[in-house]
Amino acid sequence: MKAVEIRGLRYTYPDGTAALRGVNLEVEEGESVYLMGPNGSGKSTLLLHLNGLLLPQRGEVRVLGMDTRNGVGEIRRRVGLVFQDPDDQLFMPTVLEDVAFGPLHLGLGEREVRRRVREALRAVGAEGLERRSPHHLSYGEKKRVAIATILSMEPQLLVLDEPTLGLDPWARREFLSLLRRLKRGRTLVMAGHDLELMGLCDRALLLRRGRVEREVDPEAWGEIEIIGGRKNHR
Amino acid sequence: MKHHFLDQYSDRRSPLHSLDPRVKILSLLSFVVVVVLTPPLPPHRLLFYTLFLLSLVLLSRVPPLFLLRRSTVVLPFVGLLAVGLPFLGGSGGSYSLGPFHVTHSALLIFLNVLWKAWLSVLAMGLLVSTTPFTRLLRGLQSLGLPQLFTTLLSFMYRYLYLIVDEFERMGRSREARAWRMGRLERMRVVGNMVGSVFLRSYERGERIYQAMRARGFEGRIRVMRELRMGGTDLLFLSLFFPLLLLPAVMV
Repeated sequence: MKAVEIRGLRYTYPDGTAALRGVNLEVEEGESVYLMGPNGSGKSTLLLHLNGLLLPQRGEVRVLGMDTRNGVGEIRRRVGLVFQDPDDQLFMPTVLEDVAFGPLHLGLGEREVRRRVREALRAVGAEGLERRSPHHLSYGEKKRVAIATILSMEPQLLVLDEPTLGLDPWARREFLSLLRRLKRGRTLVMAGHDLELMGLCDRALLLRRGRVEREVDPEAWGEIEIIGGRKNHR
Repeated sequence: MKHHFLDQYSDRRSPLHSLDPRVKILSLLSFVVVVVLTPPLPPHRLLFYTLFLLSLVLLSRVPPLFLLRRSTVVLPFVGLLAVGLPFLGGSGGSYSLGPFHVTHSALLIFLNVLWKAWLSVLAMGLLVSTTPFTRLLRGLQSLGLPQLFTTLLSFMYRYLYLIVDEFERMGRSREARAWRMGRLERMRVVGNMVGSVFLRSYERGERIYQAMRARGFEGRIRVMRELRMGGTDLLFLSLFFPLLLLPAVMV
């Protein structure tokens, strides 16, 4: 079974911006895929389709074998989406409550919730932050806790929007090794324009003007030419 | 950027900090109700309540000066309301202040209004300074405050600082570009800033809602039960209430 199957997906925002103009995408289970593309190329819009926060206006989105138009409850249960801005992702007053939010809303019992919170925080190296308010975390800590809030739901498919954006080189290095660990045994879809992060992935696709333009070699991350010149930027 | 003005010192350790928030809410609210609702007290009873509260302040290990300074904020407001009280007449001995006559009982009422207001604010300040805001909300909710209120307050607590930060950043960028500005011009710019903070908050609200839905939110927030009453809570209650009611049986 394919983790993600998208055919002919189109999406236009109410203000008339055509964000996606016929996207085709397949992701195998256990694979990590990087969606590379300039700002405004439709990456975030595409990711929002992966757990049914946006529904296709035209075309078809199947995630883990389920069509997003036939109900999204089960899909949201199994797809973890980490947003770009951790201040959007972390909305509860303490880290503990935030990481517990997902599992609690899956209807799990309190003991299981606590176990998952512990494991998720350990997985991202954020033990000891439970009582802190997200406002008092550093940006790197926020980013890591944001991932923990998703890991605690134990998703089959992990979707990350610009995971390394805005991190300093030290936090970024830690973050890359965290992502390398997370990749093991998971299906991972990430978007952004971090060439080194792209190098960690099994496959990379170049998104431009709302379409998947072509597949690129993730290993070739040192050569800026692969993404084309400035001239045809968007 | 750090802001810490709402529940500063609430993360310290002390006998008072470790109490169940419900115990503290009930005790200190009862304190306010008892102090406010009793008829004008002679000074020695007011003194009793003051010492009672101050000993709790000492027990809490919150810097007393911090709490005292904070609690005096209310005095100008109450003072303004109460300033006419000493001249209302009444019985008892009277003193003359130039052209005015002040009776003993009216003076007592004046003193009571100020003192009681100050004690009430001090008591609430103590509650907030010994209980982290989230635990306070949890306590209020389990005492029956509707979840809608507590949820709204908890979002406010989470995002208030973020909004303040945003506003400060905008203010700084205004200062960087336009340091000489007429009053009217400045007001117009502040108006625009308020508008754009509102828009940004609105958009952030939408994104947060998406993040909540992405994690299974369907209209009702579920939380863990974290509050547990223990022996110290019962001990505190069994000491607090007799002491609170003691002046009622004092002669």
